[in-house]
Amino acid sequence: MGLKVGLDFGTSNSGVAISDGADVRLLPIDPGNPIPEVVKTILYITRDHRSHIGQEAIELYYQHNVNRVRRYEKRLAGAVRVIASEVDYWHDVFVDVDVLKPGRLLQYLKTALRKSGGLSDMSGTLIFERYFSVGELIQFYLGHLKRRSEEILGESVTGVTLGRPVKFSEDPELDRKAEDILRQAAIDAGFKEVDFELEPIAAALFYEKSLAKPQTVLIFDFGGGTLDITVMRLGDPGNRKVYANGGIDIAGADFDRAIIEKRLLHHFGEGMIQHMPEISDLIETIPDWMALPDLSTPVINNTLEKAIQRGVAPVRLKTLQSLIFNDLAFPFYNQVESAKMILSEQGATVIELRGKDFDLWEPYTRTQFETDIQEHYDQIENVLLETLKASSLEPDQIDAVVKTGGSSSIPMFSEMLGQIFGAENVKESNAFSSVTAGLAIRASEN
Amino acid sequence: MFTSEKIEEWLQEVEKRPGSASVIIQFIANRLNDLSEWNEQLRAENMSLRTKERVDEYERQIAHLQYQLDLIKRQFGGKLPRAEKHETEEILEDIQYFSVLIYTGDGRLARIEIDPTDFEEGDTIGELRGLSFPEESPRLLAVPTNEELLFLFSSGRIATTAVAELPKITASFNWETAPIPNPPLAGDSLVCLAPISSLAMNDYFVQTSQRGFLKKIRMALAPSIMENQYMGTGSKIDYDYPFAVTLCNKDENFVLVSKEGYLRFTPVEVSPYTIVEAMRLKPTDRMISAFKIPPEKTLLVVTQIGKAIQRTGEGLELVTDLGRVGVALFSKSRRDAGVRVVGAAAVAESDWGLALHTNGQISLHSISQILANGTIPVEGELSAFTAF
Repeated sequence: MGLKVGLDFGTSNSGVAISDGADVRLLPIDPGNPIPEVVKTILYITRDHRSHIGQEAIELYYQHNVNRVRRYEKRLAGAVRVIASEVDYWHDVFVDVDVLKPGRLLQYLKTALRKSGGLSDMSGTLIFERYFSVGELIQFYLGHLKRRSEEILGESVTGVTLGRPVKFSEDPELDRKAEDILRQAAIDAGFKEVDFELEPIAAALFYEKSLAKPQTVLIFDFGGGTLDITVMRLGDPGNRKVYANGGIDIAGADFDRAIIEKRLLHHFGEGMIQHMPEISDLIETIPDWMALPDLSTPVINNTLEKAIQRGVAPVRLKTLQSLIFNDLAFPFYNQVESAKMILSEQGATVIELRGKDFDLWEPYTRTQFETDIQEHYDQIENVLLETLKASSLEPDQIDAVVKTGGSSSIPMFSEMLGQIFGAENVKESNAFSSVTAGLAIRASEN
Repeated sequence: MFTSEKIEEWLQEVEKRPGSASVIIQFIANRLNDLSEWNEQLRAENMSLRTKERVDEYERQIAHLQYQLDLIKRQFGGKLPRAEKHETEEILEDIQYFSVLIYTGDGRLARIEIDPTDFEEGDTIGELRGLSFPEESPRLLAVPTNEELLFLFSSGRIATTAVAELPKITASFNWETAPIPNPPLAGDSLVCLAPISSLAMNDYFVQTSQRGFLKKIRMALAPSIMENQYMGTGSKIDYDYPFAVTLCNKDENFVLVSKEGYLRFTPVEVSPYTIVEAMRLKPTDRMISAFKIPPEKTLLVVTQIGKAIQRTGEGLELVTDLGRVGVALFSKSRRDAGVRVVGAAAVAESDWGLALHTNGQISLHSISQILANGTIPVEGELSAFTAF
């Protein structure tokens, strides 16, 4: 019989922990990360179909891709049958394939479980002429976490308590399917015993460790992909009670997207391109970082090159060309995310990135950020109040509000919680590891 | 762009959190500093463009690229675009031929064209009469006839000539009448010929001197070297002068062999850009061979009595620190008895070796035979050895 761990498979970050019931040990899964107990939910698959995760994946991606040489070849993608009044024939369809592409970087795997469209249709994606389902990709990632855990613990790990958001999807059928895919991925990764716990409840279990007497708490778990809220009675493990669960799929990644859409697109020609819908479409794709690598085709390069030669916003379009063809997408999104995080600490920062034909410099203040995400703020406030209402409790009946997850550090949300529940009642739990730790506690109980 | 809307937003931030003011000002000051530097660079660039200085520079670069393209075309069998040189083009069509070049410091150079498929082990491919053998022996080189040669002179001056443009001699030839295709200037002497048609595919020139000094030169400097016809001597002490120049890539290894039988084997990557003493030589010693050695080849050293000494990769100690005495290829007693190296080369079993005998005979030998026998048959002594 092997060990059983708690595993938080997060949208942006993941982690693994083990508990003996009394103590929780967070495992240093990613030694390359500044916080080794946190591993970025990033998967890099190379041409030989080897997979890498976390910091190693990022470093390999940079090493292989930045300023690399490309070579495109036309490849038969399939055939289309054309049927008209007097014709009926098959037409071959060719696509440009970059045959020197060394690997594919995948992020937001968890989002793929719950959203539709593109990679995220729960079906999968083609990587170097091999089809991978979303479940397979998650299996690779979980497999790495399992192997690394076993190396650290020196024992076989056969059981796992996985975290899951309150709702993968508003659609119950999709929600069930997402959990099924995640369960099967864990089994395929080698875990024999797989169970689930809601992420906010896991965070609550970790918080419970610090309690001397029972309390009614509201867990505000706000990460990269979703906001999950749970209202529950804690402190007496035999008499825990969940009053209400709530959530919304708005979180850190949506804020990054809002920053790009509202502040950065003009650097790539937004507002300066007229009567060129193909280029306007490219600019609109920038906030979707999963889609950006697929734009690096000779056809798009020619379109941009022609526009630049014609003098259509040449500096901006050169910047766009560099973003797409010098593989700057990942550092670009990283800069945006870093700026957002800095604004939790100070009032102003600069979103800055330089590269070949690329000089992005945009001062950004907390006031601007708060304006940019105001719409999301309103939706989040609604969900919070609705969940509280569903619990049939009044704000003054909540003894403590425990916030966890990277996005919970954003000051305007701390202030929102403070205004509703009283600033003295808002407690901060370990932003990146409280869910992981709580899952380990649950694993030790099951 | 600092629009009024943005400035208004910054002011709103400062009203809410006055501490942000200093952060914003600092960011803008840094940016203005950067922009000011770039502005200066752009203005300087603009001036270069207006004075046509940049145009001249680009034209020089284009000319050099055109030259490299010619070399590559020639190497891979394409015809030179110089339509007026019909004679050259005819020769270039026969790219399977090799040219054996014998040259001396006074600039005399003899070219014998051979087809290696027509020869057999031990064949004599030429006989040079009237060739004297002072302290410094004639040097020997075998290259494809479609090569381009760089002539390096003791003053550091260079010249380039296509092999096919060098006059051919008959198999039996009086050295006194040998042509001087690139005459040395007063006080100058020809020190080496180097094949350079693969210029564009290499990272460095590695230049060595008679006294074991070495430096590498980035290939980015090739346009100005070619334009100025000057490479430098690569030596920094009295009574030293250039010995060889070789095209190398950064991941290759380089071999230096001295006349008294010392060897140094070093990675090109760690070789210096400044002139340094790579191998410490005795006052009586000097360089006899300097070349790169691909991993699949072995090192073959030949002495004046035809003895062949082979060193494989395992027997070669890669040295990264400079200025040491090299590894001895034979014993002190043999050295004291007068054994000297006449040539060394990186070889494969399918290659051919060329030996210049002191009686003027030039013989061709299969490397596999030399390796099997451990010797080259000699009547008298050898003066020089090379392989191709």
